[in-house]
Amino acid sequence: MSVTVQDLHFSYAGRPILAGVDLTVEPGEFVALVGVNGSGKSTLLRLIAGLLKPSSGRILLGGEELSSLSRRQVARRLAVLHQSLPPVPALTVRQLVRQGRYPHLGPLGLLGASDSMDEALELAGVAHLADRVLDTLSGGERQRVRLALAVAQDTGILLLDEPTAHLDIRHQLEVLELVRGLRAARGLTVVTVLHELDHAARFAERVVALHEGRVRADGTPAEVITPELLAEVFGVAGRVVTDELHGTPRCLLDAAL
Amino acid sequence: MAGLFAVLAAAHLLASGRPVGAITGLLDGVVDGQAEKIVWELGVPRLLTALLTGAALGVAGFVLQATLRNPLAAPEFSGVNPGAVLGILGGLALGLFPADSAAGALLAALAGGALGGGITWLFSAGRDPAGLVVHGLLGSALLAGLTTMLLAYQPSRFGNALRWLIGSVEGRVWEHLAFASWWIAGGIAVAWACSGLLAVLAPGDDHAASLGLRPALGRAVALTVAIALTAGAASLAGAIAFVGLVAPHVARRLGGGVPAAAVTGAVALAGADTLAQLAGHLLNGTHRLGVPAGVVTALAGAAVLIRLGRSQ
Repeated sequence: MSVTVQDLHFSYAGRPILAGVDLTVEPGEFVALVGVNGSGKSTLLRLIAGLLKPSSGRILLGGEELSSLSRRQVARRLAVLHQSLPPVPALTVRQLVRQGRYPHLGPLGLLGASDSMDEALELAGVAHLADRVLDTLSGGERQRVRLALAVAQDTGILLLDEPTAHLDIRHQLEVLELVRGLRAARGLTVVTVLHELDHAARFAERVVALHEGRVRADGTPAEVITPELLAEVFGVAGRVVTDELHGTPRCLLDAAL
Repeated sequence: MAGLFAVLAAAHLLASGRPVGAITGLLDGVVDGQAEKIVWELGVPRLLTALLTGAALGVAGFVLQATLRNPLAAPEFSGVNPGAVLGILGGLALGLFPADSAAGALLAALAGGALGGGITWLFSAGRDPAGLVVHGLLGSALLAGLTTMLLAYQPSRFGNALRWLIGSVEGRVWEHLAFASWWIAGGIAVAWACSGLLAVLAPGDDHAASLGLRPALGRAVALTVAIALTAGAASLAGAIAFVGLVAPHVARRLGGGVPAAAVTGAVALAGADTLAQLAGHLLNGTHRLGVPAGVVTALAGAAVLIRLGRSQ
């Protein structure tokens, strides 16, 4: 399912956060949004998810106007992995993942739902954790469980807001590999905010750099991740080399400018 | 489960100190002797009142804790229960309904509960729902203060005000239950039907919205159910404390949702009233001045809460 953003503006408390963003994500694409804190990448993600209302501009999901869809219709089209999930006492993995069926079945249907749930647990590799209490899991396990929830939601689009934040490097890779695998298995369109440029280059087909509320660069990782971008967008002097094994760009950061 | 209830029911009826024969006689469907009549007219309604009130409070607390995302949310701390008590006593003071009117008490409790919930809502408007509990405490204190003012102003009119203030299931008869039982059963059924909504709401507004539930709408539905259940409980037994706070914790530990909260609350209050009846015998030797169940729930609830808090 495609995502189209046209001339999107958004202000918060009189301060412009997004100042005319255009972006088209084709069905099945894997797009990474990068930029410094406050560049508007999380805001853009929340606008696409319909959690914020734009000041002006349009957002289309699979060609349909987002503003014309109900909350539940949106939830059947896109799943969101927010930066964090507040703790819920005694909530088990199975109980959380079952909630993915809510947009399809409604509050009454959820009482007995287990249909595509087992499959979601399997796909995310957390079937063995199904009866564990969520708060007792490690950060990496929690992210995998939350991805199982997104799978159970059975949407065409997956939005992720820094899915690797606060994780060990091994779990960072594990989570991104899982996202890549889920995208292949389900034909998902993936739009993710990523802090780590090397991760964006490794896992995304397309990198969109936001700067001061606008799209500063948009293209393949090799096109976007350049020493100029590091300097102008991130304020860092650095070199970009090519990773011999993967053929993707890698940043060597030298100094803050 | 059925066995647990049977044992509890037997203990509760026996704790009244009435003859065993009269209680077992009821099982054969005999209600002709004087003793059987007393058990049937007083003992059984008292037991059912305790079970229903406990279930209502357990579910109301469960709904509030899930909706407000605070483990300390409870009917007595959200302004709802104190409001319901104020509604009942205010209604009585104004002579809006006779002291033995079940429907009158329920309506007054509903109005008061909605007022209490509304005050909490106004205090906390536009703030994080998790902080609602602090404002709920403020609202509760305000309402309890108003109730005290009412009592101080016209003490003679409230001969049995203590039963509402402390909470007691004593003296409830079939007429009281006739109306409230349907109300509470209906409220629990609605809460159970809303299980999915509560589950989706518990991990936060972003989470709920991303799964297709408008958080404000979900919260409004859930709080309405909680107020209705709390008012039903208050109209039967007044301000029973701690059941609505502790029962949901125990229910969650048991891995259950609304049904578990109902069962835990029912068992907790029937058990507390069993102890209250026993304590009544010890303290007086007669049944004339009973110990209110609310005293037992307050003491036992505090102990259980400390234990839960330490083990978490």
